[in-house]
Amino acid sequence: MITVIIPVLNEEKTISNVIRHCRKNPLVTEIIVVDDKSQDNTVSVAKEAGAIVYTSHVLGKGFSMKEGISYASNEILVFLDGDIDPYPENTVENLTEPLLLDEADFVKGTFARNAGRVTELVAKPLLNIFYPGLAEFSQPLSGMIAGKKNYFERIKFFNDYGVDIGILIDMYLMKARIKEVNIGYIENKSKPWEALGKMSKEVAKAIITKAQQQNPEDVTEEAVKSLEEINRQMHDVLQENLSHFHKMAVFDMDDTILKGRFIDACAKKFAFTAQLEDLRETETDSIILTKRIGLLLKGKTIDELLNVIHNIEMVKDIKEVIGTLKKKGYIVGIISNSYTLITNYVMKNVGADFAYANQLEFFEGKATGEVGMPFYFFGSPNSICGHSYCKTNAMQYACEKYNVYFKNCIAVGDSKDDRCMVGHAGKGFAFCSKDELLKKIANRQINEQSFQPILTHA
Amino acid sequence: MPNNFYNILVPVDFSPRSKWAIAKAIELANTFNCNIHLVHVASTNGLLIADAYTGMFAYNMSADMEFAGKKLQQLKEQYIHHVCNGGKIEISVLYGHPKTELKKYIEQFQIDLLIQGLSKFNLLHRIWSTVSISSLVRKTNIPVLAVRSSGLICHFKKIVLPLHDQVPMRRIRLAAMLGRYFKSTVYVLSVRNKNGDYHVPLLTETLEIIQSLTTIPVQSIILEGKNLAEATLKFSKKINADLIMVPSIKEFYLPGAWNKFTKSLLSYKSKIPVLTVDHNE
Repeated sequence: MITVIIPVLNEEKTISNVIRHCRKNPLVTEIIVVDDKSQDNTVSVAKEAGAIVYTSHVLGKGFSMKEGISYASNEILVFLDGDIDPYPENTVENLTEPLLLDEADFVKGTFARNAGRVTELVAKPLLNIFYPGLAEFSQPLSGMIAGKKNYFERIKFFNDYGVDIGILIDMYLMKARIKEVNIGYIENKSKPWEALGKMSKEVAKAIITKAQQQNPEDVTEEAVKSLEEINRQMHDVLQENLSHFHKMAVFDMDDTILKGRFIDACAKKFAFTAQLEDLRETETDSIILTKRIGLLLKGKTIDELLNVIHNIEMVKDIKEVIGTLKKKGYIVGIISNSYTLITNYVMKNVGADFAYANQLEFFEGKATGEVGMPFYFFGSPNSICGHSYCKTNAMQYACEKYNVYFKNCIAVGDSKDDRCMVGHAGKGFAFCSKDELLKKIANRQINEQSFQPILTHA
Repeated sequence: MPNNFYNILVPVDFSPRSKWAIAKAIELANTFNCNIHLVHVASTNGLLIADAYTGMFAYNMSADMEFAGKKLQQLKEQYIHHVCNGGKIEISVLYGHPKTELKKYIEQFQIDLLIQGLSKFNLLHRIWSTVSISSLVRKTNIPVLAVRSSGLICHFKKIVLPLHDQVPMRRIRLAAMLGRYFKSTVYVLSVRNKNGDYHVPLLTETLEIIQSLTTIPVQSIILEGKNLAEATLKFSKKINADLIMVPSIKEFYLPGAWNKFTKSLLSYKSKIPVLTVDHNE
């Protein structure tokens, strides 16, 4: 008899079809859905479709899987993702057949697919170095697996993107008989690049951590050097490919692209204007000020913050001007002391290429109040201005990344914070600025709410 | 602003002063990892880069250019091993009016700095050179570094930046860049005017701008004296400065009718390297 375990989070649209698919197999006597506190109707839909639903006590796929195992009453377990619809015919049969025939203890499902960058660029090279025996698996990160309960019970699960590769490595280390079976074609959407970074990190962490635990001497100097060399070569190739830009334009966000300041709008909406003013008057250290302002946003949800930015008007022609700059061969970015959540929203709306800002931390969709400050804002011995924390450092990082000379840079800003960046750029613009010194530092001034004058100098 | 020098131009007339300029260019190129362009302009009206080989003889352009090309190649071979950090030495022989040809070359190759060697003893050439620096700066819009002797210049530890009547943004940017590389101190000078006043707001503003752009140490000094150029030179000698940065304006001409007539910037009299930038600061 077979138990199917499906960890889910907000999958009301697909879960009933997944359950129905499982029930087609007569050997499946138990379908367990472990819900990660969905905010939609996933639980009721799953119950209606005939599954036993448990709510996970701890968030994360790894914990959900572990809890599912503890509730399962059969010896053969199948794990399926709740967001795939449709599954190829006979998925459960294909996954369990080697187990029922006692040809394997653990089965990894592989499928024809249209994505897999982390698999090819991160997982496979690392497996080649640390676990050559697993390098032959075509999809080591696949989440469609089946296995014997007594093996699963001995595994320590990762709780992030590393969970699937972690299970595979543990099975390998337990000397379980592992088989990869093809289950057909699955439409799997490519993840956005922001998610790829997180996924790459967690997958790499899982592989390297397991290797270190197993045998610390295995993570040898040679392995580290191989990884560094791969990284260096990839970085060099990227640099070469990015070097065609030659020109860059960077914009401040608050009071420049936006007709207002995001944090001021938040202060107004969430009624902390007085506290914000107090902080600005008393705190002179810009790093501490940024951290303390972040605390004012503690508890605010992503939706609330996005709603604030949605209601701030942008300068009318920003999109058009950025479009023209890009046509002229400029790479266009936003460098702001605000938060990436907001700058990314603005970046997408105006069509910019990159956005550098601080990272407001979130947990369960709510701001923790912690602010992560990216390395590129901090000075280094090679920093052109020498300031310990400055937008110019971020601009320098971008210039080096895209192989652009400072003299081919346009910088647009409005406030004291932008003086250094505007001063160091080849062409600096003071945009509707009230800061007299910035006006002197900038080569040019724009006194109307339009970015068109930039184009005459671009 | 340049956050770096990428291309340095040295006009070459094959005299010893060209060699000083090349030596300085190599020092800077090795600091900034940049390229050096050695350019000879063959011309019948030798003003800036007087053609030492045409003189009284009938001018033979092709022979002169061929000869110059060979000499430049020799110079390149002589100095190429002195350049490290990936910099290159490019050589070119041009024909025409020196300033016009250099201007075209500067635009074409995005030159960031021109280094001009100045004669130690030839008074006539010194006057001409200085005048030419002034007009070259105005025409080409790039900074011109005038050097008068051999010896290390790549230690610009003390940079003197005299003020006149406006915030010198171009010089501030250059000083900020050089100051970060050489860990320099910038001395901002102001001279009391005829009424005995000095420009406090300008001095304060300049200091604040430098501090906005860089973390290098800055000192502000108020000098006594009627002539800005003379007072600057006197102060620079006193503190043993390594570089003076001036704009190409008449306020930086040396005192006296002759100097006024010949438009002699303070580089005429300075043993310290002088970096002249366009007056449109």
